[in-house]
Amino acid sequence: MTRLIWRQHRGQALWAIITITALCLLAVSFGFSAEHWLAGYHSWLRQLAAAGCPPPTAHGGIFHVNSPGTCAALKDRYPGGLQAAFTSRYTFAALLSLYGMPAAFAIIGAMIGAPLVAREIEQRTQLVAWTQSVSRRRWYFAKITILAIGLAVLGLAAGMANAWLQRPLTAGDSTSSRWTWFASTNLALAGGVVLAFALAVAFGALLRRTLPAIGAAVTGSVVLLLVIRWAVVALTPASKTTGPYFTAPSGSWILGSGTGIPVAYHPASQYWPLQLILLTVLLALAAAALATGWQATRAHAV
Amino acid sequence: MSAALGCAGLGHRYGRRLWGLRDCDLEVPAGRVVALVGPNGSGKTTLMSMAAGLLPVTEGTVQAAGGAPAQRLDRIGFVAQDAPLWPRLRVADVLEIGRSMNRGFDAVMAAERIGRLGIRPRARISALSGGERAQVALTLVLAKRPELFLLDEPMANLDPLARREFLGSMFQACQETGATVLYSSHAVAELERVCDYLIVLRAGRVRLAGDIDELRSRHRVIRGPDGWAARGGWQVISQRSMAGQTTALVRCDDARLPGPGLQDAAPAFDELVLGYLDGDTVTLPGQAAA
Repeated sequence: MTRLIWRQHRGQALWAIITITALCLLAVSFGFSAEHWLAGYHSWLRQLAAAGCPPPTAHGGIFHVNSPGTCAALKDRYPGGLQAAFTSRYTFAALLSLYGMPAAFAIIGAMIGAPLVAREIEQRTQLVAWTQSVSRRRWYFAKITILAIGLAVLGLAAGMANAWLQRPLTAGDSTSSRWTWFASTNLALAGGVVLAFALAVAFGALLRRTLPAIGAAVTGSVVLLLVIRWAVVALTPASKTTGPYFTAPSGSWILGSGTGIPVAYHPASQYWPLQLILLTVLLALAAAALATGWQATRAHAV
Repeated sequence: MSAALGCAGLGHRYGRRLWGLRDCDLEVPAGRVVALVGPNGSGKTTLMSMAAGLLPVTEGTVQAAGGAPAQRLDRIGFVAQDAPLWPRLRVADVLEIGRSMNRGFDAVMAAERIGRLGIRPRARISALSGGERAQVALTLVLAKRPELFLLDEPMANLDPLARREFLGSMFQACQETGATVLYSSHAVAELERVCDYLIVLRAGRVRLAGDIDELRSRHRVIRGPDGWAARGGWQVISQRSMAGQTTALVRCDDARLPGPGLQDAAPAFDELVLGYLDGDTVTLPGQAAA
């Protein structure tokens, strides 16, 4: 079986690994670049302080300026303060990290999952695959297990790369906390890619056509990811503040609009438990989809 | 001798109404080369698919190579119509897949046969001609060394030389291992050379099944002036009138004389086959016992 899987899927594996490696390298290089930029920004702040110049956040007040010429030269290097200067430079990185990665993984999972049964049927090669000495059940489960594990490993690697990119982006004030990336980093990409793969296998087995299965699986997995992200955050027990939203501990995720008292929030310590819940739900849905795919495959009459 | 393929009341229904095959009772003894003949849509592929464990059984039972087909996958060799194979893979990849998915796969023989046929192992399946692809598919099945070959029009894409070579390989496999071959074809003349058992399907029913010599001895082709067949006493399978003469394939288990003015001959293989393909679709009262 492993020979069959390797011979049939090595092309897919190769381009999936190349694409994901490129995305990870892009994320890591953006991360390095952002860190470098932030280091430059902070050294600029130190230079301003050493020269006694007013910090960029100051709107008035009295400063003992040592050399007005130095201040004038330093003043406009980072116009608009940290957020404006950083965001204008790293919007693309944030988009890649937040939306690009999950979308890429949904597409990769779907493109590997959809042909698994559907292309065999389109090419009538299931007549060969299912008449070797290996049962249809073993054929199906060996394939989905190996491919799902491979995709999950790639998803975890990309999740780590993305989490690494998220740190300087948050430090650069693009977003307030890593909660913004809740469905885009760490375990979420692995869960998302396995779900997209599983949906694609199931749609492929049900529709018996590769292309419609890819479309249905990409759409379905993105919608499900958003719904589950919402459900995990909204339906798990949250903490409540005693005062307005800013009394929540730093690193919290403020739920809802954040107005009124009390305000519901997830503290920073809840990040990993909620990530695990997200992963578990995504994998459970994937398992259900793969079971459906098996029912359709088993019942497939040629 | 045990049956290599046994069906009892076997049927498969496509959708709600359309029966691909129905009430199929067969006992094919082991070691025979069986010709499966029938017009398009008569149920040949349906029968083979059920025997190969690819198609669920709607009613009745099927036993192939001594058990339920799904449990005997390693003893059944199946080649589907047009011999599909993974187009993007290379010939050597396909053979390696065969080796890894079948215990006792004869990789040496497979490589040797591919080489003898002049097919490059590095060639992609999509780059092969239809005949070459069929040869690769047949090699895959031969190297599996099954007890029962199920070949659905395996020679449709082969040239006459390749057909002869293939039939030779088939024969050799049967003689060496006692394998049974069930194969469907429209080339009736070729079937006669190699087959010793005949199954005629029509409209999803078995119309005739049995040892060919025995079947021939139980049928006659009788020729005479129009109207003789209506006089009764004959079980007419099919008849044809031309220029005042009626020629009919009749079934007669006894050796009684046809009567004055009638010519009588044992049917040739193709007369037998065509007679059953041509005749009315009435269900026969009984089939020739194997």
